Formats: sequence, structure tokens, C-alpha cells
Amino acid sequence: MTAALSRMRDAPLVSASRLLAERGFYGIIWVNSDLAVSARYGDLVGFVDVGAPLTDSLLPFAGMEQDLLTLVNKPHSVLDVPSVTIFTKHDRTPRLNLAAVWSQSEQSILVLVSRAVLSSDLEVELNRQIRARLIAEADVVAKSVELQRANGDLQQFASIISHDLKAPMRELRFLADDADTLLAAGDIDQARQTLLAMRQQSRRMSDMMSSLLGYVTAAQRSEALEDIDTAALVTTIVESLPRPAGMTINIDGRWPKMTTLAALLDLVLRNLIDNAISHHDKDTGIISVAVVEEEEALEISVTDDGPGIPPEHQTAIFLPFRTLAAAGANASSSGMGLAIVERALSSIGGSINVASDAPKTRGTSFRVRWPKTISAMLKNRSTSPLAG
Amino acid sequence: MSAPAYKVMLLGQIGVGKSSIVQRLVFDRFETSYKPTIGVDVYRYEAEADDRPVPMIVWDSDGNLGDAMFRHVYLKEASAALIVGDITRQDTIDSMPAIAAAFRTRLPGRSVSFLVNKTDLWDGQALFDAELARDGELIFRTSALTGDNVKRAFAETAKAIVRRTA
Ligand SMILES: Nc1nc2c(ncn2[C@@H]2O[C@H](COP(=O)(O)OP(=O)(O)OP(=O)(O)O)[C@@H](O)[C@H]2O)c(=O)[nH]1
Ligand SMILES: [Mg+2]
Repeated sequence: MTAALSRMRDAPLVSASRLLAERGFYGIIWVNSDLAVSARYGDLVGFVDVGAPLTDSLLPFAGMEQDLLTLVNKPHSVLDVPSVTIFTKHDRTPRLNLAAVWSQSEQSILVLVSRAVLSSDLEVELNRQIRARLIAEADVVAKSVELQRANGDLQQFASIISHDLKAPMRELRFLADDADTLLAAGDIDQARQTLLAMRQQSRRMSDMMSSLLGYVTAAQRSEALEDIDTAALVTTIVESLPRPAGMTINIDGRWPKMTTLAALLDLVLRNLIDNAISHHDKDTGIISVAVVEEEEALEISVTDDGPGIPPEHQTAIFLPFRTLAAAGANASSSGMGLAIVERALSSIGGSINVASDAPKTRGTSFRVRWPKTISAMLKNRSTSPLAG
Repeated sequence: MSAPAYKVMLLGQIGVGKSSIVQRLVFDRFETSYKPTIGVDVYRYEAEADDRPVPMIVWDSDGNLGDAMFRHVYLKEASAALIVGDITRQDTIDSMPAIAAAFRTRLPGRSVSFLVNKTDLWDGQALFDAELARDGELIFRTSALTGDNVKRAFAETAKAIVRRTA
């Protein structure tokens, strides 16, 4: 090949290179020691201004001035910048390969600019399809993890429905049968009583349903991060909760200012303090709401001097509806408060536990770990079977 | 000779909106169709810091290069990196700190910021800045579609570069 070339006269070589340059396959730029363009050749580099600094038009070399200068007198070094497209105000170049070398004979830096091969629309389209697919696949993986979580939620939800709502449903049916019998016997007064009981029962069930909804969505509402003063938050909550005059609530510790899920923190504190008030068996008492700030979390405790919770009941109180029996038809306590709190906390990487030594000693202490940087919110996002 | 231009890299996984961001920045336009970048696209942009122009050369990179990017000549002499993630694709957000770390290993001390993009598509949960920006990177919630925060991200980067090179 080289032998063939050298046997050629220069003329065909020159005309071939001219043809290729005119067709825009390549171009050459001569660069002086000030890194200004002294000459150019070929349509492909038509956008390069002669006399101006090289980097004014060949943007990819901006910042690489030192690297260009080190080429001087080193005929074997190359500075390659492959596959670049240069955007100007009104235009863009084709995809280019840039290679700068030193020409000993011309005592100049030469930049060879060539059209990157395969810059066809076909290649771009192929890449688009491959990448679009990669993105879609990653999405499927993420969705399936989310789906598993949602399924878990759904299962739990189904079991709550079947265990806890079945009994009151059956009760409702019995009451209806009773009413039927009483009406048949002409006992209007008793029938009316029974209808009243049915109405109460159905109201109770609808309360259960709405607190169940609260429970299921506890992990996903209250999404906004806010800059808050936790001292102000806890004070507002304490002031807003109705309680007997003899019930003292102390706020202890240094409550910091922080960026956190304010509405969720409000939900947690409100439920715990409200619980401490409503489960107290006396008209006088002391409730303490305290915080200790640790490196990664706030340790919050809500401690009361009420009757306490025997160890054997301490797990059950966090389960949905488990306190229902004890609460009776008391509509204000659907037995979901602690379950909601527990669920909300676990969705943000926090936790709650309870300490009480009843009946030996009085009093209960709930301890909450509230993370300062709430870990991987998006990852723990749980999908509710009820909400949208 | 014109003022030296600073080289700024747009990094991040495929399809997160790097090209859309630079197109919004330089030409104030947006295209919904996805045209992947092959190699790099290079733009000139003039940012401003304290009322003075800061010329930038923005390198919009190919998200497909992955780690190869950090061994590539493309990164040579870069003054800053803007790392882009797509808020609707958690994995692209998760990978941002690692990209930042790789960039810093190759080019210590440069300004690095995070652009959480496509916020126009998002009404979900908040992202925790502290979780993401472990090394104190600035975080911008951007949308190439609406243009939200795009200019600001580059203005802050210009400030950081000027501060460092002053
Ligand atoms: N809604 C919305 N879509 C966006 C936004 N930014 C980019 N997109 C779309 O996302 C897709 C990918 O955007 P590109 O800018 O090409 O992504 P890229 O990061 O340059 O991708 P690669 O070049 O493959 O690395 C395109 O369809 C864009 O229209 C945004 O802020 N909002
Ligand atoms: Mg791109």
C-alpha cells in the first residue's frame, strides 16, 4: 500500500484529498504557538475563524490549552477528543473526531477534524430504542418492589377486615333479626330500641372504617418537609388537647429546630399525648413529654402516671383495633391511634416502644425514635390499597 | 484573546434530562422526544457571577458511558460537575452520590451540584437533601420542561468556580 502510494505521482493524491475535504469528510486546522488559527482547509471546518483563538470555535479544546502546548516538538503525541458535536448559536456540527498533533515540517500544531463514522440517524435511533428499553426495564424492577409492598399492605388490610370487622357485622345482622322478630310480635317499643342499637353499631363501624383508612394511609400522607421549631409544635399540641384541670403536662428537654415531616410528627405526638390523657384513670396526674437530641435521631418520650399497661398487653396495643374491646362503643377511641403511629414511624425509619411495669407500679412510658434525616423516604414509600 | 472559559460537565444516567437542561439553558427550548446523546455535545454559555460574565463550555455527556466517563479525556480540566437525576426514577437519584465521588476522585476540590430534574412530573414525597448531598453538594430541583431552576443551577456553579479560582 505505502509502496503503491509512493509510486504515485502527487497529483492524484492531492486531488483525492481535495475531493474528500470538499465533501466534508475531514478538515485540517493549523494552529500557531498562541493557539490562534493560522489557516484551515476543508468544508468541515468552515465554521472555524482564521486569526481567532482555536478554542473560540473548537470549544472542546477550551481548558485544554496546556495539553495542546505540550504537543509542541513531540511528533508522536496525539491529543484525541472523539465523538463531539459542537453547538453554535444557530447551528450544530456533525459528530466529529478531533485529533491534535505536532507537525515538525510545518512547525505548527495541526488539528485533524473528521466526521465520526456511523453518525447516521439509524445509529441514533438504535440507541434511542436501546436506552428507552433500559429505562423501561429499570422502571419495571422498581414497580415490582413497590407492588410487593403494596401486596403486603393489602394482605394486612384484608386480615384486619376479616378479623375485626366481621364480629360487628354479625352483631348488626343479629340486631336486624331481633328487630324483625319484635316487629312481628308487635313490640314496637323494643323494636325501636333495637333500631337505635343498630344505628349505633353502624356508626361505630363507619368510625372503624375511617380510622382504618387513616391507618392505611398513615405512611403516605404528610409528605411535605418543613422547617419547624419542634418546641412550638409540641406546645401547640399540648395546648390544644382537652384535659381535666388537674392534669399537668410538662414539656422537658431541648426541642430543636429542624427540617422534617412536620405533619407526621404532629400526628405522632398528638396521638401519644392524647392517649396518655384519655387512658388516665384519675382526674389529677402528671404527663411528661421529653426529648433528647442524639446525633441521628430525636429520642422522644411521653410518660404518664396512669394505671400502666401490663406486659402481656404491650404488643397488642400496636395492632389495629386491638383496644376496641376495651374501648367499647366509645367513638372517640377507635383503637387505631397507636397502630397508626407505629406504621407512620416505620415508614420513615423510626420506631416506637413502650415501657410499663403494671400492675406492680403505675405509669407508662412511650419512647419514640424520630430520625433526623429521614432515611430513604422514597424507598420506604408504601402504597395503600385504598388510596388511588 | 477572549476570557478563559470554564469547562462544566453535565453527568448522570441515560434519559435523566441532561441534554434537555442544556437546551433549555442555551436556546430556551424543550423537546419532548428523546434523542440520546452519543459521545458529547459541547455548548458555549455565558453565566454571571456577581454581575460579571463567566464564560462556560458546557459538556453534555452520554449517559451510557457510565464509569468509563471517569477515565475519559472528556473530563480533562473540568471546573465543575452538575450531576442530573430523574426524580421519577429512583435509581437515577440513588446513583448521584457515587457519580459525585468518582468525579471528585479524578478532580478534587471542584464544584459539584445535584440537579433533581423533571420536577414537573412529580407530586410525590419529598426527597431528603441531607440523605442525598452527603458531601454538602448544592441541590437544585429543576425542570427542563418549565425551566425551573435551570439558570440558577448554572449561576450558582459559576459563583462557586469564581470563588475557587479567584
Ligand atoms: N417532563 C419532563 N421531561 C423531561 C425533562 N427533562 C427531560 N425530559 C424528557 O426526558 C427524555 C430524556 O431527556 P434527555 O435530555 O435526552 O436525557 P439525557 O440525560 O440527555 O439522556 P442521554 O443523552 O441518553 O444520556 C426526553 O424525552 C425529554 O423530553 C423535564 O424536566 N420534564
Ligand atoms: Mg443527552
